[in-house]
Amino acid sequence: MIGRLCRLWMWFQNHLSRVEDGSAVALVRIGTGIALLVLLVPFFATAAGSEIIDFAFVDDDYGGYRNLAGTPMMKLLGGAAPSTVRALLAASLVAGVCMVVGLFGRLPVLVAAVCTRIAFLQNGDVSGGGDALLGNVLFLLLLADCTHTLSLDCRIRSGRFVDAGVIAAWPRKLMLVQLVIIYTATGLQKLVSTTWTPLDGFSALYQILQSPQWARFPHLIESANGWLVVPMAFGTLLTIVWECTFWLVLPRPSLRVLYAAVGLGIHIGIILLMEVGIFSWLSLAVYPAMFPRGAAGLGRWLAALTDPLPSPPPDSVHVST
Amino acid sequence: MDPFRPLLRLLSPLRTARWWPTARALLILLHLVAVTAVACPAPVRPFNARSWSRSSLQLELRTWAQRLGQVGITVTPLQLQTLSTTVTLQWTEHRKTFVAPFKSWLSAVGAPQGWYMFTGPDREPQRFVLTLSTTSAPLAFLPVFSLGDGVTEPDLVSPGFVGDHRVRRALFQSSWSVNDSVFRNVCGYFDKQIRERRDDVAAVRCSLISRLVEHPAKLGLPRPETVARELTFAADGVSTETREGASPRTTKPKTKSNGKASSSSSSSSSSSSSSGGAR
Repeated sequence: MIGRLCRLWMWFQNHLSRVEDGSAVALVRIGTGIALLVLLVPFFATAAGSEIIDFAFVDDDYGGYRNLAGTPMMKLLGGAAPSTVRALLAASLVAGVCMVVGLFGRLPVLVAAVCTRIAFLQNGDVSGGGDALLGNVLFLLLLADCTHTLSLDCRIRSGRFVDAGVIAAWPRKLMLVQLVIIYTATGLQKLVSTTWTPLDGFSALYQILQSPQWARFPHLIESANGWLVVPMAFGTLLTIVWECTFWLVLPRPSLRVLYAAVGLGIHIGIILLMEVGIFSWLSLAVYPAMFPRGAAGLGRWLAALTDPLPSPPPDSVHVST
Repeated sequence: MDPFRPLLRLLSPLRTARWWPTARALLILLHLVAVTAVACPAPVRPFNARSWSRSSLQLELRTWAQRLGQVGITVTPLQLQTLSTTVTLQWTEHRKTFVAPFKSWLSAVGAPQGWYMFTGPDREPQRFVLTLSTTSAPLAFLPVFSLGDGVTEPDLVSPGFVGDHRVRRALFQSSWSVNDSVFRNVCGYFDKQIRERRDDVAAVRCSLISRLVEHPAKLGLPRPETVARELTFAADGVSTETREGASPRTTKPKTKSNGKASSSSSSSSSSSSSSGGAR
């Protein structure tokens, strides 16, 4: 027994020592940067966005809807005043741009992690799964050499946008495990409700999409006179099976394409039919972590496209799954 | 261009040490255990009489009791409720002790793990409706916006504002939160905003309109609307609150002093529905 545990531990240690092409992590960085921009640009680009900042993240002493005096980090900055919150969000926005283009290494990731956390997590009423996922992805990106390739940093360092050198593989694997935990946990949680099961005819989506709080078109279901019952039941079945079995992508990498395709469809559906923030954008941003080989191939293709110098042959890079 | 590189170079002797792979593996294993343990499904908070009183949960209990009855397990919704309360209380207590150290770690690194997303539909959602009356017709309330139905007065409340997920969350919490003050604070915000934008406002009223969603097995059945809660702010700051099945309650505004501590206590007292809240 102890011998088996020792072998397992040695396998785990060796597994964590693996290195791989940095394209998958770079794509997660770019995707997360884009998701950050999707989240933050409307705050500064629209009048409604500015009102939302004042409503949700500013203390009631300065015009917000509730008292936000209790957050220690915000206290250090002098309280949730409009200028403080706007400065935090502006810093996060700049960090998002830097993440997309890959500038200043992990610094923008750190800035975005700290600033969004202080600004968003002070008001639990208006914070949800998207903010939690953002915190997780930024933390994991901070552990990775995320601007090693597909970045301006790489261009400045090596004269090329693509670097076929290797980075540690374990941060990407942690991203994948995090994705698995999110989907599996939310799937298992849903099983307490009969609506996600045949016990209530897989009626969850049919009912959820009538919610005035979350649905973009809450009257769509009612106006369809029942013809959406079957498609919604199929969507509910697909969602619950996909979430509860998503963990299979860990032992069976061959299933990843299927699970990613279904996930892409589900998240596009969420983006089109519901207003729940950037959760779907961020989830999709982490998908490249499932495909290190595909990402490496994309990196080589981009290298051929953008850099006049030939890339090293693909065989020289060990890619783990 | 990476400011972290000099730091990593400084740490490179550590990373070449013989013990480093073991230390790294230990840290990663701890993180994995933490993430898995904290993400383990559990109710956000233990169920109490108030949470069970929600029609969504009562309907859920009834469906479970019916389905269990069909397979020969006879149980009433009330028995199921008692059993669920006991089980969730015990599970939450045991889980709390086990995950406490992991939660501290995840909180420190900013990686929370509460993945409660559409666990079940809200079968009887409460729609937030904002109306106002003018000084020329103080008893006639005109619509400003109704969540999900659109904005009637875009000069007073912009459609982009009401449509945003953060605002929707606050409006959802107004009806769902166990904290009564959310509804009062949100209403107070709208009252203030509307009076700043329009001079002839006599009263601003927020209502939570309750209506069952259409169930696939009950297509076309009538689903009447009821006013679950209503809060009206008059021009002098006096607010009147009515709840379904309760008599109206009038509250006079409290004068806010300058100090932050006083403001804070004013807000917390509003949670017992006894102060002017955000006003």
